Amino acid sequence: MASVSTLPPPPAPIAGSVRYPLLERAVALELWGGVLVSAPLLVLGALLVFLGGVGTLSPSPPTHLTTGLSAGAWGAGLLYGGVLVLALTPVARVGVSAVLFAIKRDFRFTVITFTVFVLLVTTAVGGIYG
Amino acid sequence: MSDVLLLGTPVPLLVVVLLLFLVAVGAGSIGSFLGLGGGVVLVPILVLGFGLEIHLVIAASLVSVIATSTGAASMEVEEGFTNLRLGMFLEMATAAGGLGGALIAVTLLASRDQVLILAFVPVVLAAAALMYTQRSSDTRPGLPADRISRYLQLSGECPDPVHGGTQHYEATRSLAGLGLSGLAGLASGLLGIGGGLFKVPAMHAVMNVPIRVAAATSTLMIGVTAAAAALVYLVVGDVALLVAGPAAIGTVLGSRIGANLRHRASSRWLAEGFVLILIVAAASMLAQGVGWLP
Repeated sequence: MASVSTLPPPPAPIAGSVRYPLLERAVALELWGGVLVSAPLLVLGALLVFLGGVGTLSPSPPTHLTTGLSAGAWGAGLLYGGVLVLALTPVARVGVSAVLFAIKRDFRFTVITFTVFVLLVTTAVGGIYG
Repeated sequence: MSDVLLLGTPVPLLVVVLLLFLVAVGAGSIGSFLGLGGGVVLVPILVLGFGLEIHLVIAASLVSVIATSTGAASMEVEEGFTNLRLGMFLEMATAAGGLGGALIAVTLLASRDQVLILAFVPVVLAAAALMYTQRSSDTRPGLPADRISRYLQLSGECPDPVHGGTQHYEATRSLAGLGLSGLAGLASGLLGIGGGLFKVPAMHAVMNVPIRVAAATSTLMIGVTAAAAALVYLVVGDVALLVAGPAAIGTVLGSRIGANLRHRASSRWLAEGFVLILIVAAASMLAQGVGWLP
């Protein structure tokens, strides 16, 4: 019978630091893209809300998107879209990272990143329908 | 367009929105400088200074946390300060903690907000003490990477803007860092904050990562932590767009200013600034917990 001391050692850990320039580039571009899309929507939306004379500090439900064709309604819709794009940007960043870790065949981090993505979606969906 | 009462005085809405924008620039700068979302600065000002309702302010703060994170991280990821692997590893615990916190908030402790806030005060003070003990040296020498850190290759290199060249660092005590990140997620789910207050001490004081890397990685992570909650607020219609929109634009601008300043600051300065913010946050939580603040 083999004693404990003769069991094979655990696999050697990988040493050193690992950086994937492609992943860093993709994450930076995705985040910057989120800023570039949301910022004009937010600025234009705020301007139209003021031009339409419907500015308010009260909460705005998503139905603002379909309440008419006035400048104010358009502005509220654009503001809503800007905030939505901004809120989706970090979630999309996790999705992009999962795909790129998979492309790099870094399976440990593909699993970790996919787990984060599932937890995020579960929290968001649970919060909305819960 | 109607005026808004600001500290009892009627002020045109346009002026209020412009003031909101300026406050957000400041909050975003301080937030990204220290690796936070800036909510710790933004929330008290909007509640006490602008007289806005707390639930509107929390929603706007979550959007600002995302804006700070996105604005600063889009610039920093390729500069080598952000450790994407370490961030993703810790995000597992943060996301799980966020889900757990949200569940607790809506089920077990829905009517006991103040008890909940008070429970975090000793944790924030402990984080301040940890950060204070490590203010004089950026990393403690002679602490090797632990087994998990080696297996997942969490250690890294970053530019050393003060002395020049590149600084290698070993991430250690991964499980403790993971636990504290879970706590950060729990705090986010329960209190609607980004959780940078716990993430930076977890990486810097516990995992022995340089404070610039901890702040940059925390800045990236807080966006993800806040995103799920912000989406919920947005879809159910609890976001005041004229509060969140200007706050978001202001914090994006401020976040880039703060990140640039962080690159130039000494690590001791950063650590001491962080300790100060932690003490302010603990005092603010205490005041909320005993009912002095809304």
